[in-house]
Amino acid sequence: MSDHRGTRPKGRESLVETVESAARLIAKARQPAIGGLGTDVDGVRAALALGLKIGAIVDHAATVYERVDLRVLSDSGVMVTTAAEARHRGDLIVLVGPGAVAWAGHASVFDNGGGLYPWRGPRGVLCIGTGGARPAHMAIDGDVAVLGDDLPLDRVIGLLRARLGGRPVAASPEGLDVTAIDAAALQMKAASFGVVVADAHDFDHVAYDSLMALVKALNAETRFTTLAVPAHHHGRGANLVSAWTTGGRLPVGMGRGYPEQDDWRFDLERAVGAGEIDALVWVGALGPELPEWAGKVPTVALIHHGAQECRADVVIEVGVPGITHAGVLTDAIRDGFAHVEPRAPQDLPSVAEVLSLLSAAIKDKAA
Amino acid sequence: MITQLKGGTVVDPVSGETRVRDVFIEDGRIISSPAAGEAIDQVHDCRGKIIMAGAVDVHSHIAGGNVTMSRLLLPELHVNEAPGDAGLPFSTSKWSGYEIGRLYAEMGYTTVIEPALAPAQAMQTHLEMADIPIIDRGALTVVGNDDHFLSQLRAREGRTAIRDSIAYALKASKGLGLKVINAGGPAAFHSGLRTFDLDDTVPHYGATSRQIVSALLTAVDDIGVPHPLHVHANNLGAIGAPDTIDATIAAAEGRRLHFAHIQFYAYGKDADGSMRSGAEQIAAALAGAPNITCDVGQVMFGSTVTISLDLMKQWSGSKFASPRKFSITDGDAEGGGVVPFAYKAKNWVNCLQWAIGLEIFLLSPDPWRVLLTTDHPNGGVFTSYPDIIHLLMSADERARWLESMPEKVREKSSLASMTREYSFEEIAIMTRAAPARLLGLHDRGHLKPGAVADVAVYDDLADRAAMFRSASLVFKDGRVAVKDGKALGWIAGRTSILTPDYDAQMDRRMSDYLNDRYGLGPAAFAVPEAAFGERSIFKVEPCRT
Repeated sequence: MSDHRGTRPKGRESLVETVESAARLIAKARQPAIGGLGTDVDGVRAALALGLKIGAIVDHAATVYERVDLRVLSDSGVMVTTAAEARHRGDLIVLVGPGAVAWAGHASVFDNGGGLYPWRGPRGVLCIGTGGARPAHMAIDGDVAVLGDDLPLDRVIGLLRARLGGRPVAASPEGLDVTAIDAAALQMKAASFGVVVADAHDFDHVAYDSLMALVKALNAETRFTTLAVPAHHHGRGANLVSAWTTGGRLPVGMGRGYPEQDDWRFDLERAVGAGEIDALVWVGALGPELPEWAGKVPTVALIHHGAQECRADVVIEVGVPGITHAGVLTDAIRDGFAHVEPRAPQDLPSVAEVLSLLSAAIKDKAA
Repeated sequence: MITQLKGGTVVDPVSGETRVRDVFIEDGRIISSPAAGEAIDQVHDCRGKIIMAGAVDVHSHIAGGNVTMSRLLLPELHVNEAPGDAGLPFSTSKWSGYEIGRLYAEMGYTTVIEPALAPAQAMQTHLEMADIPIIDRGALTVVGNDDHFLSQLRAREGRTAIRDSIAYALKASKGLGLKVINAGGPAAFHSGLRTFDLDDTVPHYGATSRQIVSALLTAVDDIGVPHPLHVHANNLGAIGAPDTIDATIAAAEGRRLHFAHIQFYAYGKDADGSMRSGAEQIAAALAGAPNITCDVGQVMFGSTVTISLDLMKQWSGSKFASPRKFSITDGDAEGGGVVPFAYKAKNWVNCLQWAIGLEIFLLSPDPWRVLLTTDHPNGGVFTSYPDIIHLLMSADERARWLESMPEKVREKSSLASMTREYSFEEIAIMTRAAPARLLGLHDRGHLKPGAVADVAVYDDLADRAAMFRSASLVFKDGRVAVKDGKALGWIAGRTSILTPDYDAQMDRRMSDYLNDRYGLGPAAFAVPEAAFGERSIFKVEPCRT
């Protein structure tokens, strides 16, 4: 990659020329990659189509979501609910890990008690392994209960699972009173519809798997489910589009002419570090910005207008779905796709438009 | 442009007797014959071949949040292994929408209905369906377990208000029909119940399953939905469920009702309390109730995944998951459960399920009312349809399969003694004419002049499975989409929808409700054309008047 800032197209004619520069950069690559993928449904569709055509590795920046949340789904399965159900029906919200507390604070999911189900009892909150963090803006009936503030999540979840299953634990494991564990277990069993909130960033896949097992076990006697902190930069939407397009989640590699899923082989940061990637298309309409590790490869960056200086070889400013142009995005509050109109329309190309132009400018490898 | 399909044996009971004749296509429609002197642009030699209308599947889970959940849950069941042909990107990506479109088309299917369109997730279902190439699609809007509707029943709101709220859900979600799943069961599961029968009451709403079904049957007729209420009844998979079917038919009180995957309810009780075939009771119920239609939900062997909005059933079934994992989504109404399952050819219960499905077909009083499905993928994958057709058309083939099965299957079902063999005409009715008519899609399922030129041409092979697996030719809207069992390229199909009218006050009421529930207005749940960019997706079908 060069040190100078790449030129940005001015106007549509310039866009075509810039796309041709990008196409030349990609066409000579032996193993191209498409990363970031912070874009709307049509942008992801276009990225996957381009990826198949050029045999690229394709991934989204929300790698933790994929490697923890979605991995546990495929390893053991999950029990999940929507934010609206959690708000209205949940009579015990269990915040597991500091990320859950932070999200509950700023996402406004629980800032009112929800009123659709008048028969619901008071809403309790239990913080598990949150490192002292407590929710600031939640509507709560009574005090926040706490368990294992200073314990690693995998440890406190393990202890809780043991006691819920009626198995013994050490008299005072790591300073945690067994009666405190039992009190938390009893509170969970007593809930009519409990909701565990967790942020995959606080876990490795083993601990997250253990958390899901705890929730499944609770359903033997009552109803319990989970609400995951949403993936950043439309990571959930991108993975869902990948699932119905390629058959599976991201990352995928398409060098063999069909999509293959492999977390290690197609980990972009690893592959770039190992010198396996020789051209990168970074899609950052919704962010994130080009990561440091991308500096090692020739890069075409699709960045949102007004983004900070981008050190890519070719930089193309694109619009932002929901801001400059309409698009379909997942809405975390209702856990579904929604069509969003632009709030401040501008004549900027969409990711789908640029990637389609790019695809058209690259001769088919088989041709 | 005029295309001639020359000299084939046309099996189209809607337009007349089976006979050798030419079929003509002009501008995407069937015509009787070209005008005198009009040039024929393209001739396909169909001598020795069987020509039918493109097939129509009334119930197959091909799109939506739960289908995609199954993709994410079970990567090991669909590992991609080969590139697709040129011009068919992602066509070999297993379980992808592209593969679904290709595989259906290659069997001669040209219209497929997704039976579980959850209103809160309508956009995803439509996005997925729009990415299924070649075939036309439609979806059934799921109602009956959502808080708004149940609150209407609790408040004893009038027939018009219920009609309007259901019409709103149908129109907003862009459905082609209405479906209810274990009426009230998923709502009861949210509240902790683990069983739910026709006269059980949904906690907190005071409405029974019977009342829900009855209100929806009336609403379907009041709205003028061409497809009868599509009912996933209570007690799916339970021994004794034929009684539930009888009771539900009685509850319909003569109104039109379609039972989904009725095989899963045809489990009678033996003297020792174990399962035996209840197919005869089901067949008798169907014979006595001409207002009732059903699809079978035939079980076929192999690893598959069960996808259902029947949370209660999926939770109880999760202990049989194979591989041992599952997902349960407590959604804003039903949500969904995804539980992998393996039907084993050496397991007598699975074999009996297989036999019961075939018995229902063979005891069917009317091919217009008993339709071919596997409830894909719940009973088996849709690519097993050709094998099922072969089994229905050949008693010898059934005997061959039965030979290797446990003796209990012969003891607990009458399949071995059944000699009936389906004719081509019955197959054409069951897989084409009947589902199209039942869905209100009057321009397909037959080859009368004016019909959409969706046509399947098959080699007349003794091996009916091979015959129906790989169509010799498939025309979609008059264009050749498949040749020699291989899709030629991506053609974009359409999604059929209904747009019923309702009182404008319902818009305001639903806006308030959605804002209360989600903090978001109706726009967040809408499925506008604009969401599909340049693509033209939707085709509006008429309601009954």
